[in-house]
Amino acid sequence: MSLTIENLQASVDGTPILKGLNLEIPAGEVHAIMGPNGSGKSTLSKVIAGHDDYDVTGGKVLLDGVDIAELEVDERSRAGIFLAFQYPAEVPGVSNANFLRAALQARMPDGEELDAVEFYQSMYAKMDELEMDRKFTKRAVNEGFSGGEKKRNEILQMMMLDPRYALLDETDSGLDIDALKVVAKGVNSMRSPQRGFLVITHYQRLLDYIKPDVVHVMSDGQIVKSGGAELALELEKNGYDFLKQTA
Amino acid sequence: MSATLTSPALEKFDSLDWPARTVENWRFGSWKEANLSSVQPIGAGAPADLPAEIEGAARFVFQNGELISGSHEAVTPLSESFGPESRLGSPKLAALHAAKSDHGLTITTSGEESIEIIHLVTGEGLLLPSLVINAQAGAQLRVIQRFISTDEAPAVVLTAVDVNLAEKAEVKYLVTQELNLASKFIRIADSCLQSSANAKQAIIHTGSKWVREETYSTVDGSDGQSHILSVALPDSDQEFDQRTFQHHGSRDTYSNLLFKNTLFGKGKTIFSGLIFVDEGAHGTDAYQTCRNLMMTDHCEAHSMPGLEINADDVKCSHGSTSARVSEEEIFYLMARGIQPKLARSLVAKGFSAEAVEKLEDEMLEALALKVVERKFAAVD
Repeated sequence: MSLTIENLQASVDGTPILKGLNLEIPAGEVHAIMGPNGSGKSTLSKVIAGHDDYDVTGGKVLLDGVDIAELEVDERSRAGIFLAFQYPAEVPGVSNANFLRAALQARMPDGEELDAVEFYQSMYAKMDELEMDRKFTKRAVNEGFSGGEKKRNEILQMMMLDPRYALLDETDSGLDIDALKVVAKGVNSMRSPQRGFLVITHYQRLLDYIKPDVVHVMSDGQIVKSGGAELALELEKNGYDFLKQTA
Repeated sequence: MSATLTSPALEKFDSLDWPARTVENWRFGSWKEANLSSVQPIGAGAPADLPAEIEGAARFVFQNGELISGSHEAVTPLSESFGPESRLGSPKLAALHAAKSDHGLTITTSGEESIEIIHLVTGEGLLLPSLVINAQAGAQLRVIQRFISTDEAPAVVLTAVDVNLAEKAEVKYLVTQELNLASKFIRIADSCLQSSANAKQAIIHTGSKWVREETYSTVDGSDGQSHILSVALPDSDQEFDQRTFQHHGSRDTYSNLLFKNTLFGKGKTIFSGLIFVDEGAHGTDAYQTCRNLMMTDHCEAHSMPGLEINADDVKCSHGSTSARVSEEEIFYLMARGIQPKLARSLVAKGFSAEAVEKLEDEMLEALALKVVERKFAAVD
């Protein structure tokens, strides 16, 4: 069981961004991707999620062996892919609770209704874990939320939707150290042998709290180096100069 | 219209012209629709299923103008028009109402009351309801007024309302226009607020093939606050033409207008609004926003916001936008597994909900959203 990316190539407006990327995230593991600005990290997460701004020009994304190329964004989500956004959208007038209910209802078989009482119990328990005030259930999705509140909200959604593979795109950006710990706690509580994580980050700091099994370095649309957790420490210390030396 | 008796109101009606293309207040509007010269009075009404009762509200029900139920100490039936004035382009229609209206209600209170008025409309012809709201000093009044068709016949409803708030009175007033798609709806609304009064008026338009609405609001006492809200959901060939005037006649007054239109099919909206600040009305705080959400390539939205300021030290802003559903929002919802059609519907409903929430009244908001939901279901 894995999320497998084979020779993935993608471009935006004719400009190639991903240039033959290979990556395998087995269920049960946390993989981190680091890399300089512009290396294509966020593009990778959006391409996996199915954003139509990007043209996939080659390669495959396999979800537990099944090619997801033909699946729409919502179908990919229901199939088990979750993207925690770097910049979550604001959806005015749609309350967080109604949004989450709609997302969970979309996963129910035809004719079955989500149990509202169970839904609220489950949501409140997870909000408590993330130290989120309950007023957030009534507030419009992400509207007027601080950067930290938005990121907590992303993790809340992940916890509610229980995905098979979660992609966290710079979830640490905009978080102070206390919020980072809370968010990491939420992510760690979701670690399981059945679930894989891809954590995209610029900073080793996040990986102090979410320990990766594998760290990858991405550059110019490809994975150029992989290693253990110590690779992140090395990058923190020495930066990405080695990329220039190998170029 | 054929007159059977002469009266000053009828003479005035006869002396005026129907709206014409050349009248500025009818710019972009379908002025021919306003010519009611061939429309006959509506006949007798018919009973119909009523919507669920609103808890704590005294209900009044009219069937084609005949009051069939309802009583409350604060409410008096009207047998003639209170004589509305149109200051936004339809003096002929106002005069018609003044001359011919034979039913309505006056609500007068200094207490805390909730009144619901339902107008059931059946068959073809002209109906002319009146409503006068007198919120006396310190009153806390909630009024719901609903216009509901019971059949598919082409009725014409020409209604007028006069809302008066004395010092420190508070009024929350929700109107739902749920007529069938063959009907026309014309509304002339006037409100005047004294010191520290607070009015929140909202209208939800889902029905009628053609709507003309003229809303004139005066804040005439310091610290008076007038909130004017509208949600319009035109579909197919529906046209909603709304003209507004926010008049600041005194120092330190506040008004805030928010109109939200979601346009489907070949739906058309026209919004023309003016904030007018009198000389000496310093400290005015006035806002006017009209937002159009375009759901198809064939809908049409015209917005004409305006300001006229004759005082110093004022805060005023006006603005209008027309946009499609944000693809970023749709992607976000879909990335959580929500199907694209539902995602669009959620975003559009959320767009309407933003105006409804300004009522700050859970019961009224729930009713308004129910009417909105019903329209969305019909559009789907």
